[in-house]
Amino acid sequence: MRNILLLILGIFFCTGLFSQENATKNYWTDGTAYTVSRHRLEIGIFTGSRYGLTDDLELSTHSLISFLALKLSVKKSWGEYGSFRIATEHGVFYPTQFMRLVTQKGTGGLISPEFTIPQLFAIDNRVLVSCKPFENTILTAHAGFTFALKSDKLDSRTTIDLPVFYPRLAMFYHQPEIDLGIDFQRKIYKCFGFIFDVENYILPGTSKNYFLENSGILTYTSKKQSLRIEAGYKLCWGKYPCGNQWHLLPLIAVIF
Amino acid sequence: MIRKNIFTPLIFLILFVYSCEPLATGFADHEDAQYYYAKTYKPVADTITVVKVMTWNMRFGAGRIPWFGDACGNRVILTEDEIYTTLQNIVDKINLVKPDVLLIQEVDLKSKRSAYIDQLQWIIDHTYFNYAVFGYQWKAQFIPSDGLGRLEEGNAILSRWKLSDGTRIQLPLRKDQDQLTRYFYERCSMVTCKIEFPGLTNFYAVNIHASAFATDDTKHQHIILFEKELDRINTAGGVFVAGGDLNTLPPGSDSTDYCIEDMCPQESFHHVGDNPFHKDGSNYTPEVTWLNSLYSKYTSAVPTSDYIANQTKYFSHTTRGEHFWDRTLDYLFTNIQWVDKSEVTHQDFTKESDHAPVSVLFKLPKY
Repeated sequence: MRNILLLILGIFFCTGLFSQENATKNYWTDGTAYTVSRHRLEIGIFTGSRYGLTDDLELSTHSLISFLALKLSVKKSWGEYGSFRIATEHGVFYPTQFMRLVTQKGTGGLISPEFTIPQLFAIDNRVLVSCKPFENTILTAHAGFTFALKSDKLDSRTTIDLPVFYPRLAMFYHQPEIDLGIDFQRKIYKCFGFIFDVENYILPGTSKNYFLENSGILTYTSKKQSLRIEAGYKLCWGKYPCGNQWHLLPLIAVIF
Repeated sequence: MIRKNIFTPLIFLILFVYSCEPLATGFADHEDAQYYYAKTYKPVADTITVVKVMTWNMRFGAGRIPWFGDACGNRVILTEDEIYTTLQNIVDKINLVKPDVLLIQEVDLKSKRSAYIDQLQWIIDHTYFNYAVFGYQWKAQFIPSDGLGRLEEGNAILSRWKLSDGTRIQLPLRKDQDQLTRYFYERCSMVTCKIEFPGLTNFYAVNIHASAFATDDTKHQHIILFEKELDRINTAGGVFVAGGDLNTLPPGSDSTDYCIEDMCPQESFHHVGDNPFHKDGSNYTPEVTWLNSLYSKYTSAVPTSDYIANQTKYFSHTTRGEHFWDRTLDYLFTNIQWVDKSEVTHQDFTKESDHAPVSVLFKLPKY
């Protein structure tokens, strides 16, 4: 049971699909070039938590998941350039604990216990450019790269060859990893909105080098912003070690 | 303004829905087998009177490496070099024995444990075979246990001559496992096909890999279904060569309990309070009559009298990596006659697998 819980937590972490935004009030601007205002705190249990150090500097992490795989990021907004807002985001990712937990015998063993997981750190940097082409809409394009630091050699057979997992850990086997994507958020009717994003992961160092993820999520947010219901999908395509594969992951969430 | 939003997820449901295949694949009772072809066709003789048939459980190219699942080992995911080295050893032996028809068990197609190498295609392309039919024994996109990950394993019939009517026949699943384990576990199968030898229209091959570790009557059911399939071909006037890894001992075996031989360090069997009392898959005592009907109806490559007279000569398996063969699990049967005394249990092939191949000559009938 503990292993299953850990697995689910890992999936929570890796998907990051609960970082929802409110395009109209700009409350939830994760994934855009906008930052939360100074001293504003957003706490999510299974989603990202963010804190505004200043009006243009934001600190973010994943609260519970960080116990397993720390992800700490700083986003700096560089202001408006015409109708575009530009920001850069810099983060560190420490999945060692998670990978060691799933390196075990029996059920829950995603990685063979014959391997030793060294200390692993990934450092990611990305540029985000957002604009509001229409009312109640935010369109963001981003590009970034991630490189990894390891205390020792990581055996190539420790990969977790699953969608969502594989591209987020791939930089420890082939680096750097480049990511490019767009994110489109829009309020469509009163409390309803949607998010549509496309993410590309590129690994120049290998032939298994490309992963595409597309998410489409419908959101319902109560008037008082106290209840949020999300339903959508995540479509993944990638060049895995076993060959090209695509997967469809349905997602349902009720948050309040 | 400081705004604090605390979200408490009530329901989070994430389901991996694989558009083409589920996490672990189930099968219909009868399905078409998959056909494999050599990249380059190798010419065959226009006429043939005698064919050599061989069965070999090739242990997914793991050789004698102490794999965790069957040899008290701690290895799970083998390297590409290890697999290719063993595959080369296997094809060297195949090219040496030169069977015309090869029944292989435990051939991996796209498994993490064997470096995702399509072993069947590799063997066809590195031997003289032109055709193969394949039926899955185990197909799971991801097994979340012991780091196994993706696993695709099966049984295949290889031939120089064209194959047709390839069928995968599902054998009953084990009933001594919990549902979750059973969902991800192997699904034992037979694969059958027609071999288009020159001038023959009703020649069949049947390849089976019966359950190795079932502690209930599942393995017995597998053997019964194997026999029924042979009966069906025989009744229809067909000629067959059939065999594989039946995972049980021949009638008349002196030793029928291998719990102590197969015991891993830290394990204990046969003592008061031991639970289980016998090691799964190592106690053949309740099975001693399970092959009697098969032997009474059809001709084994090794006659019972020969086996009883010199059992060690026909041993074809051991679970111990450094040990010589200590039991017989691999069989060949026909409803006509083998060439007398032509059977060879290739006990000198000790590096390639935890099973020795068994070959025999078959004189094709004239019509």
